[in-house]
Amino acid sequence: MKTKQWIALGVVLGLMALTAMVLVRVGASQRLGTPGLQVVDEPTLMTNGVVAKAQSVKLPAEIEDYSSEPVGITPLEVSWLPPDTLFGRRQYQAKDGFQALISAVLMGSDRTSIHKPQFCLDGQGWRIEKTETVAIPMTRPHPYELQVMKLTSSRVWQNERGQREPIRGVYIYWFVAENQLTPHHGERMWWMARDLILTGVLQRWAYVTYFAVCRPGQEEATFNRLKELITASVPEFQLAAGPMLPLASTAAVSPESQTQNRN
Amino acid sequence: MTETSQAETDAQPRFLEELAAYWRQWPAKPLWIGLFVAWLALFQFLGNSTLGYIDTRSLFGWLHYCYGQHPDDEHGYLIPVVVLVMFWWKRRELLDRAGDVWWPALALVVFALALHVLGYRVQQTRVSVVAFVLGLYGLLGLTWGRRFMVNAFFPVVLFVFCIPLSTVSEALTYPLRIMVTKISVGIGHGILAMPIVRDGSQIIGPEGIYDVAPACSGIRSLTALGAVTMIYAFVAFSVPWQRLAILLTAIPLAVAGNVARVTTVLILGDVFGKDLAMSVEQYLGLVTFAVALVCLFILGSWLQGRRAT
Repeated sequence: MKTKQWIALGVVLGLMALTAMVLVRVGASQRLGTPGLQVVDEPTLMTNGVVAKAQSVKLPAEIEDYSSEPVGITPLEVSWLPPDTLFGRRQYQAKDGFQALISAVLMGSDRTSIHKPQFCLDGQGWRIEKTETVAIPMTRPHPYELQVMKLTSSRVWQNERGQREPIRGVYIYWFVAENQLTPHHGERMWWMARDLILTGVLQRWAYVTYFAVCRPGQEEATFNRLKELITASVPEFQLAAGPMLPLASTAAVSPESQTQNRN
Repeated sequence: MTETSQAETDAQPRFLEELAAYWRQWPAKPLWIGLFVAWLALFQFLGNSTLGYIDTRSLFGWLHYCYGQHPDDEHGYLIPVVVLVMFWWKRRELLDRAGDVWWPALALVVFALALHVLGYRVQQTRVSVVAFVLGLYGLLGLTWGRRFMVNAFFPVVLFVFCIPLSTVSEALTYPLRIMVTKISVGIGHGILAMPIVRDGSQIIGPEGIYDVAPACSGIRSLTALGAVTMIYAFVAFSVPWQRLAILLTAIPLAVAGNVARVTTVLILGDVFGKDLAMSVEQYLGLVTFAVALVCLFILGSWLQGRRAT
């Protein structure tokens, strides 16, 4: 080899060695952020009753006139997602029979725990008809608007008599981390990348979903029920909240003003 | 021994002799081998920081996992072979242009290393795939000079098809799916007077409901046609605007091919019933490519005719 070639080889190998040291340091220096949901030392059970995790995301057992039962995580979810993923899932039922499933998935040190919920719906046979961003007025811990993604979906269901009938699903979700809330997957990815680069902190994201099934034509009424449930339940387990609304808006959404409006 | 097998046997030693002779003529082999092996080793041992689905630090292990999980990304296995074949096809040109060390190419290598650190830090392995290819291209230029680097742009650019995109491509493929459905219903109802209506990506007719599946959007036909149009553009054309024209046909060709497929299914369903139409549908992928390739070569012939005049 010529001298110039030896120099080129040496320079590039040196750059690669330096890069390797940086990569090792990057991998070792990542710090995990704080979750935006409450985590409790209660085991997560799978659908077969086996304990999947020693911890779980806290979801309240009772909310207003709703009672609830814990719902097991499927073995597929447990095996497919990274091993340090945490879950919380409960089925809620109101006294009038309305049912809703609340689910939360919290990542550990690997961002691949969090994926677009559309994959889950699609995989379960639901066809997404409409996707929209909506704002849900929250009153606790302070008045703010929770931006969520609302998916209206459909599938064909076999009822107890063996007949196939169409049903609708209203699926609401958003992403939450420490002091961060967004309904947009892309925004979440951007914030995570930005914080990793600027601070070395890996934001610990979760996604929260509310899901209810209804007959065709009842989608809006079902969504309104879910909105009320979200307003009542989210402050029980979510640590993050959006920016406080200005005073004029606060008057519009405070419980006192809602009572006055009803009167 | 038959004449055909004798010819095949004679062809093998000739290829191997030519390969050996070609290899002997190549300058700076030790430099290239050292750089290439080191580059591979970096991405083998520190290529991937996303350990959730597959516990490996290897970029190649991550790619292998992605290709295996999603059929729409399986073509990634073939791309390196295609690139090598293209390099062999251009071997005389490249040998003529092979020169000495070209230091400006080091800037691209440095950029690629920085890009890989960024991708590693933010757990975006696709960024690291881009960094791997860019750095490899930079090493080619560093070893054999600017003229070689320019000439090697194609086929190195084909490595872009190694990036697994099926899980992130919905923003592009879903609108294409809707477009395919709309055009197919337009042809079926508007021209052929079939009693069908569209509901999203579903086509509803008296014989049942057809769902225009993601395979008919489709990322697989897009990437395959993208690779085919790129190879055709660079092999058959030398004028930049003609190459660009050919490259830009990938999306409309994918749409045209899938429209042909869906419309064929609708016609078969209308005449023979949905069950037969759906049983034939799985074999109609060839229709997609046949239509697309015919349109591509018609356009190519027209462009070549313009060049001749």
